[in-house]
Amino acid sequence: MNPPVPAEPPPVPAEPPPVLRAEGVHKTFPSGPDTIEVLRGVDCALRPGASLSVRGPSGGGKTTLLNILAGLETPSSGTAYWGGEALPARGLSSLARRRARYIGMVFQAYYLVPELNALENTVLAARIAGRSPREAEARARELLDLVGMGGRLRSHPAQLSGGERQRVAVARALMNRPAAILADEPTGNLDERTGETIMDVLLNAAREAGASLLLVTHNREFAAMTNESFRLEDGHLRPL
Amino acid sequence: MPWFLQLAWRQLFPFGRKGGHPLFGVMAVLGVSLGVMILVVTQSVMGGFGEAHRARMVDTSGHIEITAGGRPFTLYRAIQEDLEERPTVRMASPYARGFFMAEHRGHRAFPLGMGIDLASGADRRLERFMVSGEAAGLYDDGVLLSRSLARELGARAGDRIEVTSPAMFERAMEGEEFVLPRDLEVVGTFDLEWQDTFVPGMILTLRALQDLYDLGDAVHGIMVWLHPHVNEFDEAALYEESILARGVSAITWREIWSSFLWVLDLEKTLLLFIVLIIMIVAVFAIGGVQLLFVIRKTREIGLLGAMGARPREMLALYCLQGLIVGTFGVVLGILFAFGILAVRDPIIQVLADITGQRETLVQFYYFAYLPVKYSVSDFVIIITATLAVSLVASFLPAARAARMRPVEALRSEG
Repeated sequence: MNPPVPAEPPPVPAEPPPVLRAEGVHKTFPSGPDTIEVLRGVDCALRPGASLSVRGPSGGGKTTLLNILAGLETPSSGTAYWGGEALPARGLSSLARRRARYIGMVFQAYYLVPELNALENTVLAARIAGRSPREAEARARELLDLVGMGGRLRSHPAQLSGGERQRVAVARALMNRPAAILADEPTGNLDERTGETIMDVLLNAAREAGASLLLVTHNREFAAMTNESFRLEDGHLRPL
Repeated sequence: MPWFLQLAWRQLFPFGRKGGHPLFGVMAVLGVSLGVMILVVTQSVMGGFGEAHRARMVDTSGHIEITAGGRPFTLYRAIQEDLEERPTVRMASPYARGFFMAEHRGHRAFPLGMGIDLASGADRRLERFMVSGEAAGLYDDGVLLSRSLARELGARAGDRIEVTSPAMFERAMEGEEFVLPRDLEVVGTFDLEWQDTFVPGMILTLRALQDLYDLGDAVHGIMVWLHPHVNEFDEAALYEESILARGVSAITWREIWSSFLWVLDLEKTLLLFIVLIIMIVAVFAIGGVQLLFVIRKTREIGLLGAMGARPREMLALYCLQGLIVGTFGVVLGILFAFGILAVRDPIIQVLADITGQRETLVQFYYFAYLPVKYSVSDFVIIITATLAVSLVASFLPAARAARMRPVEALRSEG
């Protein structure tokens, strides 16, 4: 009798590609007759649903890395990926419409449009992405409610505090159900207490929306709130 | 509504709420509207002057004149009858004309006299221009004087003036007879509200003028007035083919006055160009302000780019702002112009009274009022030119916004 053939092990489900990935990214900027190399072969990956923080000294290249991953800047060498797809080395403007749906961005200085109220600022992100006004408004109301701004829909940025503006910016970043949120010093202009609140809002909102989060921050405590933490120094990204 | 149209509007006019001040938008619209207002007023008044001149030309010479090159001709009755049978002809009236010496109480003048045919109803056309007396009262020993000639002679309705023609002098010089001036009663005075150079100073009956000029039964021409919308050139060509004898020709009022009409059109066109240049300067100034606006909005432009706005949408956003400013400027400018033109006469009268120059105004501009003619083609040109210039002026700032790289715009110090 032949020995029984052992059953084949069940197939291991293929791991989905990272939402964002940098592979051997270098970036140099001209500085007078010289050049400054701010990124020297950076590799990193942001997995679906995960959060990742990057800390480091000012001018160390954190924002540059974030811009490269957002498709706003091209690396001098190396490649950035959205999902499994490499971003083009040129012609980033053609990425604009895809960026609107794939990436949500939160800035240190909020960057709300002063002429629009909270609801309109949030809706704007969806309108740029080509969504219908009715669908956009329903989603914006939902998100503003989620970040605690349901009662200030008609307030203009000039009527909002820094913390409130950043809440609106977080809602705006989530409008198009992006795969990733890139937050560049989102608490940089806020006091410590408001900063903590905003971090809670950001992490919760990203989790609720199923978006990955890449956080650039100086704050050690906020960095510790993410799944993975890195330090960018001398152009190299090192895990903490 | 595309998002960039909504944002263009809100950035220009953030009315109410705490969204900012609409100062830039309001000032830009006002600037364009003032330019449009000047354009509309200028073109409408110039059009009005042209229209008034044209009306006077037709009033004084008809739509078509039948002449034998200025020489008297006698076959006019048959021609007149043929013309009057045509359904396109409202009136055909023979006339004769010539210069006279007129005297009244030692005042002497040398006006152009015109003899009109009462039988064809030419006197009825004059009635609306009568200042005193009635044109219907004209008879062979009577005369109608223009207001300025009556003033020059110091004559008024009911006075008698003495009239002598060159033909009478000729007879006297040839010693045929002792010639006395003809004594005519001033039946009334008229005012065509036009420069004296262009209108006769005296109007007599055709018979009286033929007699004073020894014309027998000859006339100098036939004035033909047509019904509205009849093409005078087609009519004149038809007369030459089928009605007129050799040596007699038909000439339209546009041909008679062609040089003057050309000058009128030239004046209007030149003014349009001059004011358009002012308009272009104004709109480019607004373009400069919009460029500053774009520079001030650099970070917002970066934000929109980071959010996924495409360069052509940024271009559309700021071009649309120019177009919105142009559109509102055009609408407001036309309304302002209608407002100003509605009260033009009181304004002119007040100015004339203040300066005491009312008579001068009439003397040099021929009209006692400011005529206006609204022309669809003028409005089409003004609206198209304003919108085009607004668009061109906003294109440079818009192109700058479209070319900005989001990452650099966000990094800016603005």
